[in-house]
Amino acid sequence: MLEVEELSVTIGTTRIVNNVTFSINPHEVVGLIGKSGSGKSSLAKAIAGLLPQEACVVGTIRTQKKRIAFIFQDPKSALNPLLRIKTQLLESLSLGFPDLSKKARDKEAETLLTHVGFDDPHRILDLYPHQLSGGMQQRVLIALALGLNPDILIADEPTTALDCVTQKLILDLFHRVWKRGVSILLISHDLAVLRFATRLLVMDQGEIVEKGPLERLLSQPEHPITEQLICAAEAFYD
Amino acid sequence: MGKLYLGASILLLIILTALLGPLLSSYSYHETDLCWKNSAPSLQFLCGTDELGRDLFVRICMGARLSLFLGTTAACIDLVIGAIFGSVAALSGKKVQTVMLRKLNILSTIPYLLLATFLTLLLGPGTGTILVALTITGWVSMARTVYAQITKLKSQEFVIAATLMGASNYHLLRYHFLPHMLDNMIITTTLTIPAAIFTEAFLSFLGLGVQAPLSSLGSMADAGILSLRYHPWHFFFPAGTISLLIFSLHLLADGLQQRREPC
Amino acid sequence: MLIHLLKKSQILLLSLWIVITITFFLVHSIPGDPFAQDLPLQQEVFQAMRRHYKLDQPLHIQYLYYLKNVCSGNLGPSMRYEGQTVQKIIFSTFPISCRLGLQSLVIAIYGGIVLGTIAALNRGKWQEKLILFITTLGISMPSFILSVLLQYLFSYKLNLLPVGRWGNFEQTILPSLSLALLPMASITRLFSSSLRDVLKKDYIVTARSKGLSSLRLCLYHTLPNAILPVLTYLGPTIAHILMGSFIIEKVYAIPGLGQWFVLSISNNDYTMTLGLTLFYGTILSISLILIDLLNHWLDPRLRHG
Repeated sequence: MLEVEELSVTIGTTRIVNNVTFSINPHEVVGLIGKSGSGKSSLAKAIAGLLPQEACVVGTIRTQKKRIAFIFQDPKSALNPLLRIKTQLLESLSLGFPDLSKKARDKEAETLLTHVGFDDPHRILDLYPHQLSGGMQQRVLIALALGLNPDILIADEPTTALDCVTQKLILDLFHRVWKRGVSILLISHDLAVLRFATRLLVMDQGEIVEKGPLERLLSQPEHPITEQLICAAEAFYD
Repeated sequence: MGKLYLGASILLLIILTALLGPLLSSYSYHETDLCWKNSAPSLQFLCGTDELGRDLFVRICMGARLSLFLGTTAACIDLVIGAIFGSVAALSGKKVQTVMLRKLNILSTIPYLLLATFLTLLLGPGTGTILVALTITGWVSMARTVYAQITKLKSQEFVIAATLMGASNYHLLRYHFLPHMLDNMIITTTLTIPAAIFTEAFLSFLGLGVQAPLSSLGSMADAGILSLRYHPWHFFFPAGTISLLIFSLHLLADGLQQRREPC
Repeated sequence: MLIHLLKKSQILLLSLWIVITITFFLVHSIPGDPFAQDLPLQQEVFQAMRRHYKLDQPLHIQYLYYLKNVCSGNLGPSMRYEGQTVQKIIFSTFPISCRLGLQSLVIAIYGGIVLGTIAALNRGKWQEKLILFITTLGISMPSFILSVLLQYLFSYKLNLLPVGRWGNFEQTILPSLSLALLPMASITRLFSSSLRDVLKKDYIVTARSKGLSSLRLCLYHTLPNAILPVLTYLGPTIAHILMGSFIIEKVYAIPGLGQWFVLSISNNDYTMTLGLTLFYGTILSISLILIDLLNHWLDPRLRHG
């Protein structure tokens, strides 16, 4: 579904991503973990084609015309401050489900908001981004991404601004989305978020230092960074 | 960096010419000699002569001196008034602050050119009037800058620490705030000067500025329009000088700002 | 939004009243009599004229009379030009100045946006450097110099456009252009930097990668967000155009309101100066309110505080 070969990203004089090779198969959830600043976001943005013009991207990315949806880490600059949530959601839906009638689209917008955990989608639709809290904005972002009807969903720290309950809600939602056939690239620095990933990629300083099935990495981490991350996560939840 | 040096050198050139030109020339700015009236620029008369036979080069130098003097004086007065107002506003209690800020806002909505034109009516044309007109609302931007800076600095930790140790407002101002604000204040002043020069030229052009025989670049440009078709140098030399002056000051201000934020 | 409009109108009326009062007392404290420049009059005639214009009454009575007249739209007769009332002069000449001002505003905004876009999209290339240079010139060259320069080049030397006066469309080109140049330079700079900022925003980047049509992207996302700083700047722009019109009208010999203002000042024509200051003040305040409303309508963040 998605193949990345020897991808390097350089911005200015810094090499942010260095010679990365991996692939995502259909119907798979891949987790991408690493410390802050390890290059995870840049790698993901490179795949989705969202890097700024100044970035120098070398290598091959094969997406086979699959639609990729990206969920940003910071919701504030990912939502147009001048448009209502309804307008932005409908825009997404018109790209993802172009054959829907207007009425069906409106209904779908409300459904999407319910799926991401809003009890009163009707009220939310009429609001502007600045009237929502950080957590609500992030959930709207997720709804927008899902509205695109993607084949591959890349989520960059999708639950950082959310409380535990909402976090579980979102992760369950991702699980359902995955069941419908969407591949997910889940980026996090929190191991607990990735519990339903099948494979893990561990990044450090722009390179993939370890990759493999989730269970194997959890029980027998090979790279010291992987060990560090797992220990930290476990200590947190103990 | 290039901007800074370019602007500064042009400015310096103008200042030097303005100061030394009349001293080195044998002509004076008010002596008329009708034999030479309206002559084109030549080696004898670097900028030509006007309709009364006065040497334009010397008159332009005197005019530049006037503009520079008015601009710098106005900017200095603005600096002092604005800095005092701004710092008092920033360091006072809530009530005083609101009143002062409101005054600031009201003043800044008045189009100052309108006010300046009005004042010349009230006080009669002349250098003094122009100075008052220039300073009466010019200090607002300086006050704003100072106020914003001090408010930002007030919440910094080293200031809070100093206050806890019992530092007086005066002490804070002099030793803690001033070094940080100096850059901004200089840049704002460098922008006030061309604004003042522009206002003076504007007023003189409308006939409301300095009177004859004193030469102001603006009034010379005003007079120059009448003979634009046949003696274009009457207009273009004074006008060019004003433009160059303002342009070099803007370059200087831009360069200073770039130096402060090398991005 | 309606409450906001009402609040702003209150402030408008208050500031207008302040303007009238201050202007009134300032003008009346000017040394010199409006009639002093005329031929020596006999005492009786002099007194009669003063009585007619109520100049013999104590100041505060004159003030009340004036207020009463203003509220009914009567700005008084001009003291220098017989038989003309201030409002007649305003109504006959303001349309011309208004047209000049509006034409310049349109040129400034439109030109500024177009040039700003070119500059923003061609970062580092010659187009941007050229535009940056021109805008620096535009900002630093006083409007009266620029306008005379244009007049000299295009009228005297190249004979392409008429020298002055006002009547047909051709005669409006140079004056509008001259008046528009300074605001256009500022708007170009503002819009170019704002556009650059907006284009980097995540919502624009995603929208483009999602495959949104360029037109929709531009109209719904990029333009509305990029134009916000320009709208905020419209207030000072209008003030500039107002002031600049005095110069332009003089240079191009346009029979607009600006020259009357300057004339009234040098003639000590009390009523005229008062009336015109009031008029300009009103126009400015109304424009500022309209711009404020526009800002509020476009940016929901302002509406909700």
